[in-house]
Amino acid sequence: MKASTRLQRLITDALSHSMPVHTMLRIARQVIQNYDLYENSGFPPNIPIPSIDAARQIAIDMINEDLVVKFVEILIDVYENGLMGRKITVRYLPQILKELESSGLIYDDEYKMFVEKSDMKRTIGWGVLQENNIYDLSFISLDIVNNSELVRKYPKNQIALAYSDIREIFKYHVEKRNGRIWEWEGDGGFAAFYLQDKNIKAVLSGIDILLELFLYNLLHCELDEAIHIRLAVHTGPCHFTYNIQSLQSDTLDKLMELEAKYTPPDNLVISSGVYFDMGSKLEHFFRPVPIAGGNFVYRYSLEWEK
Amino acid sequence: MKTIVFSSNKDLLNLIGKKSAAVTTLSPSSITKTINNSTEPLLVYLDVSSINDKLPKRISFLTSKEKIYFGILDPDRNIQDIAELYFAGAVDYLAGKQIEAGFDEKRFKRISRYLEEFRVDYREEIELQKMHQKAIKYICTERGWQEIVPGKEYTFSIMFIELDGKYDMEKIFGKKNLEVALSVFRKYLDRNVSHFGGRIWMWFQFGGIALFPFDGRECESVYCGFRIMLYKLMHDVEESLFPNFISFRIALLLGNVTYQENDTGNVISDSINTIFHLGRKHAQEGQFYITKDILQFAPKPLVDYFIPVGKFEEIPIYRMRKPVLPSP
Repeated sequence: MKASTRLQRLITDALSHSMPVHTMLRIARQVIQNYDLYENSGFPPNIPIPSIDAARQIAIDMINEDLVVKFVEILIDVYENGLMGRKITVRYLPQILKELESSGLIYDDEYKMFVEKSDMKRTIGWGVLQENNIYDLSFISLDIVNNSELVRKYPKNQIALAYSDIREIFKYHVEKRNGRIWEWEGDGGFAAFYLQDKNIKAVLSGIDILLELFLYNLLHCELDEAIHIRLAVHTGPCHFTYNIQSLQSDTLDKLMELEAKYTPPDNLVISSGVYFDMGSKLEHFFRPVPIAGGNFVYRYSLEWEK
Repeated sequence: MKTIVFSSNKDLLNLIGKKSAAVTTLSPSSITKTINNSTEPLLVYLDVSSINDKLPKRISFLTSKEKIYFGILDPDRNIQDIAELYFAGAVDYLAGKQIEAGFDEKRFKRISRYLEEFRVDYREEIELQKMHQKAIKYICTERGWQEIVPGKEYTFSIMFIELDGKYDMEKIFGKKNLEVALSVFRKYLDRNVSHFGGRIWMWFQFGGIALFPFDGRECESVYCGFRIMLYKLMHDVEESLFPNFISFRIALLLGNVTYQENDTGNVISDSINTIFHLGRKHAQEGQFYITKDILQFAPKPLVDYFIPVGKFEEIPIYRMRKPVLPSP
């Protein structure tokens, strides 16, 4: 996140007007474990650092390390719950929150963290995931069936238009539920969900996409035939990186396996870990399908009364 | 009834051009699109010499469509068993020189008379058309609500929607819970109805009447009802505050109403009366019914999702096939 000089100034003021240097240091070390204020500020270790200099240095370092959001989350926690049993009134917090809000982040009181405002520019890490950290995420993948045949059969611009429509449908339904597209390559891609009800949101997006595709094929598709897709949803731990191409993840491998091996065209298949989060209404949408090792996957497709 | 010949045989096309200016000629590759987009009864001729081995497939496509009557033109006399064509539903067959001698307006009129006498579906269609010519004079609005003035009569798509099982609901859910759940249900309807240019005009606790202005060309209200039914299960899981899957009926017809903004509970109108009867007394739980007159203005690809279910007050009615949850 690109932090403004105003944010740096507000954090500096908040720290210097609210707590002594050793408390600032304790908070900074919750974000960067071996944080060394003396080394970073250039002050000799035997000289006490003035409060304003310590505060300024911490604010600069947090911004430079791209950890300012995490730092503010801890400041909020300190304000709400105190530190080591002591109550601390952190000044300028409303102004800091307002400043972050103008950068597109809003504090989620339930999850005690900042997330991107829904009406602002979206990033693949919701503005809060840190590079190389591991997070529990839910993923949905989409694959257009018979891609090579379609590409051979139709003129380039016609197929490009149809595929772009499918991408728009995918994007709309994923982002409607605060998911993020991590990759899209011509004939398919995948998206991630984080935070509250991530499994349910991924699954609802999948069902919505199948319904929308049905209407698209019926009413809008310019090709002489319907476009068919496969959708899969799986959940598990995954490293976060902005370089998605380099991403190695067992969870994503499993997602691709679900899609390729167990998903017929125009079906949504979910793993058992996802299914058990569905709740009493949504679980009725799925039919269990036995797979190897006595396990099950669960399938949904749009069905009509006979 | 409009007549279309699907042929790419130049000699035959020249001949038809000379014989009858009222006949439309099209390439055989456009059969599917033309038929799917048609709203009125059509007399379709397939030229065997242009279609060859695809003939059985084309015939089975045509027989699967309502209001499509087909004949066969066989300039080279390739068909061995002509009776088979009639068994498959053909209404005419001309071969070789018969085409030159007999393919004209007189023959088309004879076919119309034959259909009127022996084909129930055609007769119904003609009766319906006659009835409409007599009964409803459409008062269309090009610019929708902008044009509509209270106190004047207009043609609307009139949609009735009501939750099923309303009598026990207060007992089951409690008054306050029910109020909140019903307001969410109303929001779902409001959102869908307004998306298609409609407005909820009357509301009576468990449902209401929505009006959609009619432009004389297409009734998007059918698509609206279709979407409400299609997304009903999604509404159940994502939005609805009822703890169980809800069920509601929809009825839709095209009728004239004198529009008024206030005191809608005291409206006196035949169309409103009919929609209440259709929705409350005739419609079954969880189903979406439309009348034949509105079906002909429905977006074409949706038509196949409606099945005829008899008549209501002499009006043929159709029911939408429903999306269902997988059986266990």
